[in-house]
Amino acid sequence: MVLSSGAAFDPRLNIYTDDNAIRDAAVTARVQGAETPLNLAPGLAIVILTLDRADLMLPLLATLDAARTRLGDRCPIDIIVGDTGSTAPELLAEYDRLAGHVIVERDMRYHFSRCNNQLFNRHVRRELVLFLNNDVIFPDAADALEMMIAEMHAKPELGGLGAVLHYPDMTCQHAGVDMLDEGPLRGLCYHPGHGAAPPSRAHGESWPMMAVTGACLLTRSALFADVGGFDEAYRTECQDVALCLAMRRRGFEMAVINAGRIVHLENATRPTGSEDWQDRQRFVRKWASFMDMVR
Amino acid sequence: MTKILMLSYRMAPGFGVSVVADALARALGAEVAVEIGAVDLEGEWSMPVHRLAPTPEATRALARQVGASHVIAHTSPFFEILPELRDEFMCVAWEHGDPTPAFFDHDRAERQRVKTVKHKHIYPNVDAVVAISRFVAADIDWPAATVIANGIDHVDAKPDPTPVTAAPAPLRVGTLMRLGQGEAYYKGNDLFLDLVAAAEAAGVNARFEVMGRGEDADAARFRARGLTVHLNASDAARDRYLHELDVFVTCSRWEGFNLPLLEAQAQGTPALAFDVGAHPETTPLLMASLDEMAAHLAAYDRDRTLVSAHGRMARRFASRFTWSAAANQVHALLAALPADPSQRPRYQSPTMVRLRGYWQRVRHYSALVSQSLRRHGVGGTLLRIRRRLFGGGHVNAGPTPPAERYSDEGFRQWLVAHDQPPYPARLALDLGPLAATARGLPTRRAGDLAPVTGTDHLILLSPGAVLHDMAAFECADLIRFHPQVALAYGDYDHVNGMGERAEPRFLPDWDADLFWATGYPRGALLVRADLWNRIVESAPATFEAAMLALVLAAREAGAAIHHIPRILAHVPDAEATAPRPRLDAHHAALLPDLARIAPGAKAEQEARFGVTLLRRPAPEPAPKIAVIIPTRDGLEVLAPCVKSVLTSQTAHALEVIIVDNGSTRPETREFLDELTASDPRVRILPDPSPFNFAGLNNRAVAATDAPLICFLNNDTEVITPDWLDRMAGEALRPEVGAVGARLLYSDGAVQHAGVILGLGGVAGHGEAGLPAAAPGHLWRAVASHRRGAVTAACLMIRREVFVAAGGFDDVHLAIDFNDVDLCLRLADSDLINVMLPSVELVHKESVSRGTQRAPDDATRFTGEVAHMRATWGRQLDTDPSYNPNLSIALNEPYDLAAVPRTTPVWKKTNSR
Repeated sequence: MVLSSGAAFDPRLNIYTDDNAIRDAAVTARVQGAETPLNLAPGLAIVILTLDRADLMLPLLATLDAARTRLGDRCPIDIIVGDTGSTAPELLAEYDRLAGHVIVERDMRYHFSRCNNQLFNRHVRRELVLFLNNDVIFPDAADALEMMIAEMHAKPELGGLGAVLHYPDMTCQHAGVDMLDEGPLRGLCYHPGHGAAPPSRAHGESWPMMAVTGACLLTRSALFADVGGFDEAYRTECQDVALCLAMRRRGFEMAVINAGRIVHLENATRPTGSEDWQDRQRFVRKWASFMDMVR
Repeated sequence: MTKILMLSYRMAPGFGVSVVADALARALGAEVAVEIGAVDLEGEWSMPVHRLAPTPEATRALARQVGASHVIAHTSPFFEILPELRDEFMCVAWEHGDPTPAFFDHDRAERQRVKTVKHKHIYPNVDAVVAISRFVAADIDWPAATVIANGIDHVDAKPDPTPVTAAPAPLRVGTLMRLGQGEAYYKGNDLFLDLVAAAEAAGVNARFEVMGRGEDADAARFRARGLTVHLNASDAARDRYLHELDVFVTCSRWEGFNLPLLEAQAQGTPALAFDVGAHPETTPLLMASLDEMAAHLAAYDRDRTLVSAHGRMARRFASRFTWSAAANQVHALLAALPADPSQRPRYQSPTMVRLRGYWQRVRHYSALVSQSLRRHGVGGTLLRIRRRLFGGGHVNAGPTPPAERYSDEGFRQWLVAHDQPPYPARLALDLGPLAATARGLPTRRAGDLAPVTGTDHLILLSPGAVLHDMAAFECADLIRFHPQVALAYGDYDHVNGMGERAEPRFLPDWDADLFWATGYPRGALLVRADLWNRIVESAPATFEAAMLALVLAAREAGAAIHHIPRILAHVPDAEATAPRPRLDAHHAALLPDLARIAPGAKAEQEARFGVTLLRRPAPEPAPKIAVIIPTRDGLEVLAPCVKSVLTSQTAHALEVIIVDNGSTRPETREFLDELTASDPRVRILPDPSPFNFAGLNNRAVAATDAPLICFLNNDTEVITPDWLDRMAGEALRPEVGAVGARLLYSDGAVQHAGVILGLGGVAGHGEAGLPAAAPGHLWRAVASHRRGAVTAACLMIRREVFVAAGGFDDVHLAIDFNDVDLCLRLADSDLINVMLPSVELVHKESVSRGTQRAPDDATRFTGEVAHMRATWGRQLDTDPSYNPNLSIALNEPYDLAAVPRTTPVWKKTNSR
């Protein structure tokens, strides 16, 4: 039993710090979220949030555009960029140059969940949607994307698919997310195998995990909308794992695939040390018992 | 053998608390025998049950009759009885929680009162508090509670899950809750109907059912919506219902545990609940909103195999709640308690137990903070506190101070000096061993009388004192805002040989008068290094001498002395039981420096307690004192009053002004005429205006030119013969505003030894009712000290000061609080108000005004209260002479505040 044990827990994870009446009020409040889109066409929509970082965005957009050309009609791709106030002139010039190729929603106010949900509601009209961080670098995007899409088609029980992500030194940054099941931080999530050699899996092999990171998360649009998208109650963290768990609660599975040497410059745009304990409390409160049952 | 008497108001089949008591009793096994007492008793039970009147006497008799060693109360009114049984039995309160009072309309106030009483008077006075969930422990705000979750294995779980209803038949969705009107809101009856509507709107193919206890009328609103209602079903029918449902939902807004939710899961039925109350502990399927719950039901409807999968998960989840686990926890709890009341540790005073939860919280944070201090330094730690990394929602929002305030400069050396666990930042000079050094013994410890180098500040400990974990950090925090702080002290408590903390001493802000009288700070002093280096030359032989030297050095350097209203150190409990030696040492240290403290004053040690009394001499020539006594008849009190004034010994010229506020009786006239004829010092000032205490006194002051005024009620009688000289000695100090005296009731108990601002709303007499022979809090009933205000029943003040302050407020405060208001204005002009307990008078309080208030008088009083709150507001609640950890609730002076008016370190902002 995760929550009723009297064992020491980190007081920062004390889930009962707020007023019960506030939660009571939340029960009847209408929450914004993803809406069920009509007429989903085959293919893939890629959703990226960015603030400047032209150094990352220009190559990323170029790679994805090249992949779109290579995949062609085999898998039509929409590229959707949510810009939260960039000022870098070369990035803004690139947006203008790509007009017609890439959908750019400018001047969004940054909130990871809300921005992604808004982009989804306004622009995603494909069966599959890939949420991608701007600091992910593909050696070969066409290859990786095709592999991931094929996996989703082959396994209808999959709700979401993540990829093995690497640090620039090719150690493992992400190969799925799991829950800490002992110690005072019990109930929080971490990346098992992080910093070690990547899991020795064949190129293209996939395996089930409890959850995957939102830095590179391929999912089904209908399912994403059905669970309400990313939970906007989270301010900065935990929303990706919460999304995976909500999909699991609908009976779907999560998996990770070895899709090549994809690099993730973790937190290139977010400072470290900005742990949000309110988000973590909220997450543990809602999901710890469920995670305990499905792991 | 352990024998437990369990108490519950009601023992009836299907009633939650009965189920718990019964199942627990059975699980406890052979070595613990259980009998049950209840007021309302029905049904068959597996252990002996007794009908019981809910009184302490009946409960005690029953506990004796069954030979109980422990008494466990599960419900009110037995909680309230527990403290009365403590002398004979070990007492445990088993808390099932109470719904938030805000959920109830008709008895909200009563529910709030019960919660408050339990927190304040029950939990601190029992041997253990058990909460049935972590949520309940948090909700009753008793972090020291032991969490023992209920088991669920008493449920007659069917081995096979019922197959989920196959489509296209509707999904069977049901709830189980009490349907009575009083609990309808908190049980979420309205939300359930909203859920039905939301599910219909979303096209969910489901049939909704309700089971519960209640009247037909309660069921009507559900039946009107076409729902099946099972009213007052039997236990067997209930088990069957929970088993046969496809999905169980609960819409409750508050649950301490939610037994039906787990019973359904034990039967293999997935159970959905809102993310409120203890639900995070009792189901894995939590919904943040009605929308989410409706969407989840829609998913179940579309995919019936998901229902079966979640049913299996529910069964696994419920299987973790066993009564044998609960019984094991009870065994462990009983083993941790003393076997009987005679073996309880000493110092289990209620105040201390009440503090425990607070200390536990502090310990959590001290662990975090000390870890952070090691890793991030002071600057980094403060920054992390600002960024709320330690507190979640606990830290008040506020502007972030400039980054340089968090620099490690100035802290570094101070902190690295002695990095020994458990005190991450300890630089302590313990004068105990130093005194030994002076006697030629070769003992030296953390420091010596040599000047200190390489540090900006140091902490000086009184003999035997131990630093509190947070002390260094509190000091660092003070230094953050006052980098030049020369001297500071904190509160302290006592610790006995077994390491038990007791007898906290919550000190006032810096009070030089109380310091001269008692040397009251103790435990830990924060000292700026240069100040220390200045006094080491004088080689103080005792802690008291060192402290006095530091105070004088700080005073002469013009530096303020700060008070940190937090426990910074624990001192040996011998000091609490025998404080005389420290007072003697203080007195001895003070004598040589008397001329620096109060030139020309004499110091004598008061005989009973040993506090030092300073007598300041009257100047030559001694200025005239006018004693102003307003009266309206009341000859029986006036005559002895005037007589006692006229016979007092004084070096001052004396003028007695009797303000005659419309006396009508001939004998009064006669007395006054006789008095003026026989004694030229007496003057009668006729003033027949309507009674306005403030106005009468103001006009009387205008009628005299005496430099010293003493306001005196006509129902007082002087006890101390040289009272005028003693009071004048204080009133003539340039820094002093008002001077008050100690007033006694006719029966000898204390009526006034100073006012506490904010007490009971505006102000109150903190010592009222104290026996005359008691020293009071920090000897303040016997030692001169400073106060926010003193009563005008006997108040001396310089005429110029009174006039400059504008006199009493006769417009808004005709009768009450005009003295408090005056004192507050004096304090605003940086004058101090001094309380002089060595001057005693009898005060036959309210004899002259009567004790009954007339109705229009009540209106007047209310108006004066409102004026005081509006004028002084926060200043009333922040009396510098009264520690913010102490209560300002009516009738609770010097009791611990339920909520301290300080900000704990992890809540601090930079706005102080």
